[in-house]
Amino acid sequence: MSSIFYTKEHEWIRVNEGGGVVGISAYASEQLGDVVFVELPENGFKANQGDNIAVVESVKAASEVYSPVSGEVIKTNEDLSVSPELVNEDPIGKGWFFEIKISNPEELQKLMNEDSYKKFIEG
Amino acid sequence: MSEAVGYKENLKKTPLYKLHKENNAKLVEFSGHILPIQYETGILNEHNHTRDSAGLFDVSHMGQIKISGGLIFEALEKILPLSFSEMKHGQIKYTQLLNKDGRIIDDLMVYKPLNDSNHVRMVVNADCIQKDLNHLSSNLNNNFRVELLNDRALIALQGPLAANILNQYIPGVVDMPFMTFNISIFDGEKVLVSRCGYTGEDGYEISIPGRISYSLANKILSNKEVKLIGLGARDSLRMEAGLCLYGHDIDLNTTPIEAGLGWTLSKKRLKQGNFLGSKTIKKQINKGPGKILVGIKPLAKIPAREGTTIHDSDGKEIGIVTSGGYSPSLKVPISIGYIKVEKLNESQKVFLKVREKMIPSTCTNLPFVSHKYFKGN
Repeated sequence: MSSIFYTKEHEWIRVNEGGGVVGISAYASEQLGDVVFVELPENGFKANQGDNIAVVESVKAASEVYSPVSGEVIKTNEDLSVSPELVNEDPIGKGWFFEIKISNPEELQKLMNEDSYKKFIEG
Repeated sequence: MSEAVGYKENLKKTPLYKLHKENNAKLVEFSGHILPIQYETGILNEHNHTRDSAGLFDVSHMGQIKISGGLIFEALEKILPLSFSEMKHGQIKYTQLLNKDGRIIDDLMVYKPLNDSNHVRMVVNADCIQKDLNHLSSNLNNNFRVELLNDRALIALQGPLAANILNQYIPGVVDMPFMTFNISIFDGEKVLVSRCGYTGEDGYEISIPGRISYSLANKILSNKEVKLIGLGARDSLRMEAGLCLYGHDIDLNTTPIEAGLGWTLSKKRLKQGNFLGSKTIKKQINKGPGKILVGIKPLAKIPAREGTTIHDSDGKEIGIVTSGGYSPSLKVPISIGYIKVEKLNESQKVFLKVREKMIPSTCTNLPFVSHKYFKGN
């Protein structure tokens, strides 16, 4: 079973055994508009929760992506280098950014579940 | 992810505000106005639609100025590097307001009247309206009247299908030469149609009383070939066309020579050398400018935006990007920026520093995408 959590900065993390897959929410990708480039971290990159970890560039502007948890990057989505539009087309599926080995699972408690995130973006 | 920026409610609405609302525009603050950055299908789609078909833009935020008074051409030639005697009636020229140091106060379109009347129209940048009015008033004597036409909308229709579509509502516009204007009647009122634009495509800008602008826009939009286009695509279109954006590529720190706009200065007027800023401009033409505006293509997919520094192979800073982003037509990132002339080596290889990475890049001539202006039937 996997569960998905969201940050206030609109990243999501889908937690599986030992790790988590990270991307940006549908709301965020909608706000950004057409994504034309994603700068991903290297495998082995270590981040603390809230650190800048990736950059997503739309036609309009560049936006920072923050790591939803502390940990080490173990895999990145190679498809985004050829098809950055996946972030718009399937933000919480094929448009994932990277997989991270979670160093402190307790940090997940600071994040929102799907229902709270929905309420958060509806304001 | 940082939050998208909204807009404050105390901003000006253009006469087409209702149209933007009805078409689910994403509205933003721009030059003191509430304007659409994009509509529902997004910037890439809007951009490509303009290049392939036709796009309608609300550019009513721009300043439409009318100056009237006797011997107006003589008076304006003291301010502008233009030769009215070499312009035909009904001709439009792209030019700049220069200060005494030859630096650019604003760039603008100047309209020579259709007949011998004593007035000249101008279209200026929204952010520069007050500055331009002050400059004009202080350089023209009291016999001239400088008016800002606040009650008019400005609609741009751009793209390869623009001519045939607009001709249905304003007959005759298909035959207008590029960079000319005419007065026509729509809904019983006078509209000023000019064949020009800011996309590199064939197209028009229509100055129309605000109260009937919604009606004309909706008529044009009833053609399924026409889509509404927001400011996002307007910027990527003009960047591909290598057209300068005031406040970014040109400003009070740059001259027309540095900006590659020397071709817009009248040769006759340069020879006479009696317009504001002409001394500096002539000196710069003779000596060559210290920096020059070039196109730059990063050899990676990473966009290099405004403020990105330009470096030589030794890592030394040699210039700065003034506009940059992604070219939907070429499907690569593009930038425009100033480089020190002595550093423009033969191979034209430079490096753009994006987030501490040095991106190998090539300097190229502007425009990135060739212009498709109307050259006659």
